[in-house]
Amino acid sequence: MLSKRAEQFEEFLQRAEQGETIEGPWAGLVQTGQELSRLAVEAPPPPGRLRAGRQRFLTEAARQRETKHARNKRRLVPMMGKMRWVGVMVAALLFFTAVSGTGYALADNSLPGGALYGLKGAMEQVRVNLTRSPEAKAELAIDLAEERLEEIATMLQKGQAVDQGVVNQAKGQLVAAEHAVANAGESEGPMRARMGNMVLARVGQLQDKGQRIGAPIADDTEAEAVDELVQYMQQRVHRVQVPSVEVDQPGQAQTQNQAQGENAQAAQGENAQGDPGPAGEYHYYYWGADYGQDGHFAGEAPSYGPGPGDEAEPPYGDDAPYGTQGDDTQNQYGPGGTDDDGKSKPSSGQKNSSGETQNGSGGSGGSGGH
Amino acid sequence: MATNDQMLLEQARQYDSQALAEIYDLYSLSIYHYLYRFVGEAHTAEDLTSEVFLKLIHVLDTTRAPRDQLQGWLYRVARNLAVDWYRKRGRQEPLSLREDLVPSGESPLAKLEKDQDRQRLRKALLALTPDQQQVLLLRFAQELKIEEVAQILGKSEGAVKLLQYRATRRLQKLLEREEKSDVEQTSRAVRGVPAASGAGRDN
Repeated sequence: MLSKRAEQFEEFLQRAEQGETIEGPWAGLVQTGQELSRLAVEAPPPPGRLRAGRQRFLTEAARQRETKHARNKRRLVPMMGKMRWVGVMVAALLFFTAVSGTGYALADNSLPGGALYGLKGAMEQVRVNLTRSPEAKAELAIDLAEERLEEIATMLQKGQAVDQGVVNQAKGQLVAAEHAVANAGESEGPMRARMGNMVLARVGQLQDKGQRIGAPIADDTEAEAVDELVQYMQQRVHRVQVPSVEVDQPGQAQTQNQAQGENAQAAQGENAQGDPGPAGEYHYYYWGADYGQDGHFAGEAPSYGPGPGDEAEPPYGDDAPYGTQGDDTQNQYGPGGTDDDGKSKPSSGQKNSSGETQNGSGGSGGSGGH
Repeated sequence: MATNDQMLLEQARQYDSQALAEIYDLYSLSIYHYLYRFVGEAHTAEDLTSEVFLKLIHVLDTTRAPRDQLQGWLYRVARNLAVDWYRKRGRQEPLSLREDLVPSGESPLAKLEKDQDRQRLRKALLALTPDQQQVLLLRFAQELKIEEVAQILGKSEGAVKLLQYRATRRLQKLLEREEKSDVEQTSRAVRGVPAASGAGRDN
């Protein structure tokens, strides 16, 4: 209602502006409006032509501008100091990432004895240090063990010499993987299977002398070293796949008699000999860090395979006790020992307390790999 | 215009001399006219115009700075300064002899009456609300159209018409009341003191 009257008033005003005489109830209001028009007197020019005001305006603007810049500069200087350091750190980080990324890409394919092999080891150590969960550690350990075996296979393909030191590194990495798998907690079963499969595949790869291209192996020692590794792997694959089997520690003498009848104890928290890590902490082997010139583990005589000081060695090759497919009853290392709770660990083929079958994927120690 | 205002304001916030000069040249005259029509004195209007733009400089770097409707903001500040001026000087403002130049053909008495009428209107305007004052001043004193007033004030045309209607009604009542009061005063004066012929009223 009110808005309608407002509209009408505006309409009457416009009609009055056009010269029309407004009468009736709207006349008084329209007249008041017209009186207001008297205010629309033509203003005289500004006495000072607004110049002084303009000057004051722009002068004040300049002063405010200077004040603002000075204020910002005060804020910016300490910020710039900090920003400079932040910029330096960011640049360093980017450089390191670029270098390490590029360097790692190149080092990743390097082989023992190569110029970037040390860098490869350092980067792997970083990965080790950053890995926290037991499952992740087991996965990484298996990957690194496989990497060592891959390096040997590649070296053989390229006709490069594979000495005992390289072989011992691979062995050490396999032991480290076994430790990690044993400590993988709920993932132990799958990890064992994975490691067993990996070892079997690599055994086949190394046994296939047809893959050894390039210059013929001139050094019998090298041939022996590789064969020893294969035998070692054949020995251990069964042990890896069967959780009840004792995981021995490198450097310790493991004779048939000693292993047999011994209660298997998981190597939970036990370091491999020579590992500088804290108790219970799984540790990896560095390049050359744990191997002496003779290829032995630091401070300990090698305990695998035939060698001086071994009273009785487990047979290797086709006579290996692991020739049977996953039959733990013939496991020379005796029946499974007790677990931490004092309960008997089931042998291979039997179910554990959880109802899971503990048999691995088959120990084909004597039959070779895939 | 709004877009131009925004661009100018954006530069003005950086205290860009060129943008600020452009703003002053663009709006200072209309603000002066507005103020003159409100206060009735040229020097006062010029001083107040300068104050309006100084206020702009001082708020540019604050949250009180205008964002887009620069002209509306300037008119608003001008109105406030004028009202403050009136309050300081008192509502009974004696007519200054420095006022407008006498147009040719107009007698001083006629001019005086016109000036008195304007003063009366201005005095009545002061009794309105700020929005009502603005609408009437812009609409009638500045002779702007409804749509122009709406744009300056940032209101709809319907809202401006409604303001105009209410303000005019209020003003009408105020003027009628004052006229009645003047008549009564005149009557008392006549009864009490012999009136001098041709003496003008002092409003």
